[in-house]
Amino acid sequence: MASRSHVDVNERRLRPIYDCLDNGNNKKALQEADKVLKKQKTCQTAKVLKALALLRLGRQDESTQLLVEVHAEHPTDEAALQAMAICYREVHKMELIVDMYENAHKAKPDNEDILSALFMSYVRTGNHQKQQQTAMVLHKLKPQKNPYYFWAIMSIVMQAHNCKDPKLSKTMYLPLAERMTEKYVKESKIEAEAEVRLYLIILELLEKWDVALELLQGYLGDKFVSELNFREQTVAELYVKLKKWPEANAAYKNMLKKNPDQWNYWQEYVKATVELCEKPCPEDERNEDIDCTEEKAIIFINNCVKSCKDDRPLRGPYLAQLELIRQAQNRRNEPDRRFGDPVELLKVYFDLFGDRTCCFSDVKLFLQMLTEAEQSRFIESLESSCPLFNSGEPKKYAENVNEMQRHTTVLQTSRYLGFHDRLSTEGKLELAEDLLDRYKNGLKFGENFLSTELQPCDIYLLLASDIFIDVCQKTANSKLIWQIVIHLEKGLKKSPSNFQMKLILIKLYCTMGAFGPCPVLYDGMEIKHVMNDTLGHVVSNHVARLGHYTAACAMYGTMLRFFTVNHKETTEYLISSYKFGSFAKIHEFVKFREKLQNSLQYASATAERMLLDLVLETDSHTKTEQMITYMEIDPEKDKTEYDELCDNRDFAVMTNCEPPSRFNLKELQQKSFEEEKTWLKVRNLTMRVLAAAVILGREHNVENHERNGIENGANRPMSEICSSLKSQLENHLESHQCWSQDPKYPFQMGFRTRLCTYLQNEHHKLLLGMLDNVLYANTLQDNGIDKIDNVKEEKLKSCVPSLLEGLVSKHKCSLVREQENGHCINADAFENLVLCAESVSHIAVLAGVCHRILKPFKAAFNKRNKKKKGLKQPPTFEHYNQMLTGLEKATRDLHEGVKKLDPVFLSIDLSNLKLTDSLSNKQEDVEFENEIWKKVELSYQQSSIEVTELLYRKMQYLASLKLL
Amino acid sequence: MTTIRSFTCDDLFRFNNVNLDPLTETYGLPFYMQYLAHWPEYFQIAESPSGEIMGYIMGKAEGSGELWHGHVTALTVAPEFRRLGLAAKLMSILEEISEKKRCYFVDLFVRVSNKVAVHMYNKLGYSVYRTVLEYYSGDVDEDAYDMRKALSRDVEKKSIVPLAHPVHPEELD
Repeated sequence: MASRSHVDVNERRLRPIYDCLDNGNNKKALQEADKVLKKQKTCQTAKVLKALALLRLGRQDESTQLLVEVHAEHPTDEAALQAMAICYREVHKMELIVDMYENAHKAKPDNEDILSALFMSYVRTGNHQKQQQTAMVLHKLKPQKNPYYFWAIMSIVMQAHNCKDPKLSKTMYLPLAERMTEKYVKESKIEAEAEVRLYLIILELLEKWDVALELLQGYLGDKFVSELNFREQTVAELYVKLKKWPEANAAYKNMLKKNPDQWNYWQEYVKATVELCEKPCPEDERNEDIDCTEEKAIIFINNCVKSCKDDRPLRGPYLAQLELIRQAQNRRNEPDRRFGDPVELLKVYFDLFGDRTCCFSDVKLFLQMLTEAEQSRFIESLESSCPLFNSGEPKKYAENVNEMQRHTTVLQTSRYLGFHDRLSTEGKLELAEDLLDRYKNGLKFGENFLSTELQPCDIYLLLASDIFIDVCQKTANSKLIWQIVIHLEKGLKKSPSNFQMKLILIKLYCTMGAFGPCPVLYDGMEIKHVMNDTLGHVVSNHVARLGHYTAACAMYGTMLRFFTVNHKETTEYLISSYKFGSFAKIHEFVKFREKLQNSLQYASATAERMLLDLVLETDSHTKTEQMITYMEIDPEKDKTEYDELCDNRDFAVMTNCEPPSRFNLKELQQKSFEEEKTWLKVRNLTMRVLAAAVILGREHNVENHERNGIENGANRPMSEICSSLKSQLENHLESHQCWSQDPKYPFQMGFRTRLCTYLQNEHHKLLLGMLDNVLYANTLQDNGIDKIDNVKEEKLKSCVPSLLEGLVSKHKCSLVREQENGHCINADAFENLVLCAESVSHIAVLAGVCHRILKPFKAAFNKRNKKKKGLKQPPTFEHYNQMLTGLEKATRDLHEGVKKLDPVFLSIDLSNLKLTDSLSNKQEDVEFENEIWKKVELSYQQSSIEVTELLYRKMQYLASLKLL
Repeated sequence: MTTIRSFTCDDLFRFNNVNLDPLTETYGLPFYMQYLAHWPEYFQIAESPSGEIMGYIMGKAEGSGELWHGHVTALTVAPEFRRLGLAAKLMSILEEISEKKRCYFVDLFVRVSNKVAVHMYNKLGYSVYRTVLEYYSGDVDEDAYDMRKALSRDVEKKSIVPLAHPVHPEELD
């Protein structure tokens, strides 16, 4: 009783602090905590809550100090522990939560709550073995509580998943988990559905399909109630796994009777049927429930078709007929028409469902099985059935949305089958113009639509732009690109929610070097959360490439925040899964977290953001050194595990009717993934080279060899690390020369990286040439300034400046180029000059390192020279200064060149250049187009301003590096 | 003609064609994971034969006593897969699960302006139980209808008798 009232007093005193924290009033919470602490100096909970308030006020150091203090006292009070766990979670120190509960558990070994919290802390850190042990202690403590026992079993399953050696997981972990579960089954101690589900998971991992089947069919199978049809469906799946085709066939057939539109049932039913047809068995033939011949299958499918005809016709049974042909054909690896004529069936399908927007997506799967002759026959019959294909005069337009929809379904199908590719350029242009015309006509069907609705005729416009783009890719026709831009921008006015148009527009603008209009389009799609990972690629490969640095920092920042925040937050749901017994989700969550953590997009954005941070604001070497210290880079280690990287980019969203004959999304994505990885490695190596060199330079003046706070056990000399990085970069590029050609991905795919531009212009030579100078200066420092090497002196003097000069003069050009019929934009100039500016920034850093190394020698020489006039100066100083002068000159040239990309500076009005044909002479169209040109103009100006500003800082940087 | 199956984490990487629709909200990962961890059976996704995501439904069961009910948190169908009865199908699954859980009713919130959705829910047997004022925040805050459909356990259909006055979001239970 006494202790109870003590708790109440405490609770009453602490309540105001909790309330303030809950309301986000951290200042007040701090005051309230101090009030309590005045009365009760040792109250741990008050201290921890104070620490939490401090943390949330951004006073991390004070907060940590308090936490360390309480932590050392090994608290066991539940409120204090919980509050501390919150603090540690917020600063993402999960291992301290573990330590804290371990201490508490030692002090109170029989406390169930502490033990359970300890278990969860191991879940957070992914320590499955400790999880298992802790769960078993809990189980011994409370043997009547089943969940603890199954937490232990699940922890063993996780060890099986994590085990590098699959044999060990199959012979040790999983059998142990199985035995433990069986024990409860035998002793009839199984209570919850979750427990049986876990048993099933284990059996499936062990591939004991027959035991799993028995389980589901036995009395424990009754436990599966929460998911609809789970038991039936899993039984059927197990029949397939066990190759029990007659049973599988009957099981799926049975489910289809109740659910004739469930596609995966049809697929499995057909699969079983095809298997059965291969090996007919007289016994099965007598069984009515088993469809072991084509006749029986077709009868069943037809019955399904008939039985649903009265209500809304179902699509499933119709497609099942096609699926039967498709699977039979795949099995025989040659056209197989025993089950019917696919063209006829497709035609029937089209007649029934051709006016649905999903029709094309439905039939897509079956188009590839058609022979070439069948494809032509199919398209011909579709076109002849659709009056809008009649080329006679006057042109016939769709009379209603359904008719239009039928027309576009045919167009999509014919594009997918490659018929558009067979047209001549003129034919393509003619078709695209016709579609544009139909688009305009079709706008009448959506006149009063809300802004959230899509215009039904948008698909015409999208198809037209696809076809225009086909032409552009063949002939690099920038006039046509601008033409599509104008049409799509206009289309967006009518259909502001159409994300397909936005995605294409972003790509088109960036192709023309204009990033400026993209953020509005990108943000207009409300790209957030996980979309940063899957769709971030839409902008991330362009924004820095085109020199929009401010936008780049913001965009990479948003992406990185998504990854870091989610990694912190998602652990809590692993814990929930244990609590709710959602065992099937645990491994799924772990895998998902890994995919996010190893995301290519994450790694790339990190690398790009760091490189940007390093060069963007730095106008002196002191700032660079500070930046490198702040970034905590370990030059010896690449943080990216390239083999573990996951490609979560979504390209499917943009590619729906591209012909598979030339557009294999999987292969293309794999190729692009390889390219991205190669480029990422170049970027990471560049960063490490720069960091290593800066640290090397700093070592010369700093006594302690502290390296970015990173322990360097072996203490390998930094110069050695620099040389090793140099050869790593050289080897890496050497073995990836294949990427020096533009990979030329189809338009609907992602954009290439800058790797080909980098390789073609040998930017690495600038970086590595300058690194040679650093290393040479370093040997002088080791061996003495009089031990000069003439070859290296010569290189120091002129190698890098002349390379840079060459690149600048190669890429300097005017923004606008004359063409036969009008003007065009030199879109490539942006990428080339931006890359040069980046190389200049990197060279400046390395020049800063040379300066750092040589400066003490020069100072010593100056001192001696003061005493004794006329000393012969070592040539190195002069050579170094000559190099610097060369770099400054080239940078000035580059600065000039970039300035000339600014249309405003050049007083160029893009709308007057006839970059493309105007829509019309109507005032509204003219104004509309002028708006677009204005956006593009501003974008070019923005690129030019941001890059010249960067270069201006680099000129300051270089100017500060003179050896005086 | 659709495969309806449980939603998995990997679907989050692929649901862009659905979620880029302006009326479909994309939430932070914790939101989806909370549902996956707690009510996995209520989170179902529809996939087309060619593997595209057509739409999905997210829901939960909560409340005590006669307020024990199924709740539709999100229901969405990609534009090209509309007019196929898919939303109705997904709703019927959620209702069936709620029946099995012995819920009294199913409820959902919808923007007052979303006439298409309100009409569809009406057709599926839902009626407006009350209006929640300024439930949706945005440039202009918008009211929500709290719509309900009684399940078999609520024999007298007490749960759906409409309230006479609108309520504020903070008054929701």
